[in-house]
Amino acid sequence: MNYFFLTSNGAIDSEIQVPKYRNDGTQRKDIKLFSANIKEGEWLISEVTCKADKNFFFVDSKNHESQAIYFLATRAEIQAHIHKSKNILINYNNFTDTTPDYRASLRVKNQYGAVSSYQSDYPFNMVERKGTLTSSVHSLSNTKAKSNYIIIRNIFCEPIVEPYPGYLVDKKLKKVVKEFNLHTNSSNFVYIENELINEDLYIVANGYLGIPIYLSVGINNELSFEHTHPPHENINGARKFQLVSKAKNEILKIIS
Amino acid sequence: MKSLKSYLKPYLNRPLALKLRNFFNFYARSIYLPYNIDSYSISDAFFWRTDNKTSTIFRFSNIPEQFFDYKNVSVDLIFFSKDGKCIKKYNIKNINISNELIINSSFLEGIEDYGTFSIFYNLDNQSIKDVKINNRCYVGFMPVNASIPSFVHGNYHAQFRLFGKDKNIYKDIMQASRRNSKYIIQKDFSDALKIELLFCNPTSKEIKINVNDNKFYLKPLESRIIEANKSPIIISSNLMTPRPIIYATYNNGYIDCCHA
Repeated sequence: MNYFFLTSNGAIDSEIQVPKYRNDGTQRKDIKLFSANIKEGEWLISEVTCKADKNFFFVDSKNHESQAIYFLATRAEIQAHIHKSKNILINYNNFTDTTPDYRASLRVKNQYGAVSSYQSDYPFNMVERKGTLTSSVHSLSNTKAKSNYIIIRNIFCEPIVEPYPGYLVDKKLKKVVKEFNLHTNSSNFVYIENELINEDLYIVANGYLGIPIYLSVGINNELSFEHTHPPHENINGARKFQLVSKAKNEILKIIS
Repeated sequence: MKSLKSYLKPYLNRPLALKLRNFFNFYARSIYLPYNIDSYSISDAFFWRTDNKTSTIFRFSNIPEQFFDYKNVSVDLIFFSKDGKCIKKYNIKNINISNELIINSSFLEGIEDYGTFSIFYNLDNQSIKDVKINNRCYVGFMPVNASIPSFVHGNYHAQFRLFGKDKNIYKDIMQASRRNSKYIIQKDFSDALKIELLFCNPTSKEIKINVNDNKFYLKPLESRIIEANKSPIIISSNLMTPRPIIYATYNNGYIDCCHA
């Protein structure tokens, strides 16, 4: 199962397109779009009323809660977990567990008509885990851009919004160049000053997992929006997680 | 106690077993990783575009240094025309931790067209054991008057090369099958002015692709840009994951590149 999310700040709005069909064409006619919002320390699950056609649900940040998460389920599946779902996110179904991967599209847009999109699925197996996120800033940021942001999206299974630390780290200089707070169950915008960007710069989020999505705004107001691969996708073989841990630990030593 | 699956896995992933699995559509796999090889460098099939004065910005990391502590790492980039012919080989020595290459028509000796390229690491004169690398990377496309590229990450594993003297490129990580796979792009394009789908053939066999009843064939390493004009975009192919890169153009010339 996958969750979907929005993101926005003063200059950027977003829209998610959630397909009602799988990429092999199969559909479930009773599937609906639901949201989960944190209210008074509990998950509040609601059916979403939004623009839709026969193929997609369209949810935009102007008319919908941008920190909420969205998912596909049937009314019966929601009802079956109505009590438990207040305290923890539920894996309701496998409709979006497909090979090739099911794709919902998260599209950012600005007032000038520029758009950029990426496939925004947040898999259920990530919401149950804590950990450390590292990502090379140089891979997707642009020093010639008007502004660069990294959006760290976390979804955690418990209905909590709590701070956890984030850092920009220069691995070569072994130095923390910026510290900031991130929040669980939020889309966190981190502004990256162009003069900080170099090949040794990493963003680190310590305590919770998340997806690092890079947003650049060009001087002609173009947008580029894409995520970096998790480090373990760079390696195969039995010891890949051991090698990733070693590389992450080198960065964690710098922030400790 | 080990499960039966863990005993069988090494045998089920061998090339012949995989061919049989895919032939009989029994636990078919669209990707074959070279399980029986100790060390290798895998590349995705990346697209380059220099048509209409587009530039392609390629970002890649030094994975051997990041994860295996190798020094003095070099890379070979191999560029193919849309007809699958090798048009350029380019070596970069002593790469940085994160790197950028600008591919424009002057880099490609005046060629204004499109095609694919691959990247492989070299670890010459160094001891190599159990080094299995995927190079997924990031490609940005930048129209002539744009100030930044629109980035998209690698689409799928395509080829691999061994370390050392063997410089052959081994294909067939992505599998072609005798059956057609259907892939419906899960994206709405109703406000796009132009939708281009970037396909390539990373296998060693000819593949056929059908996009909304527009059928074409690609020989190994060939690539093709197809304009699609209606949603939903339905693709069928004997390539097991016929998932293209999307290059969509919107009002005022803004572009949005992503994988389907």
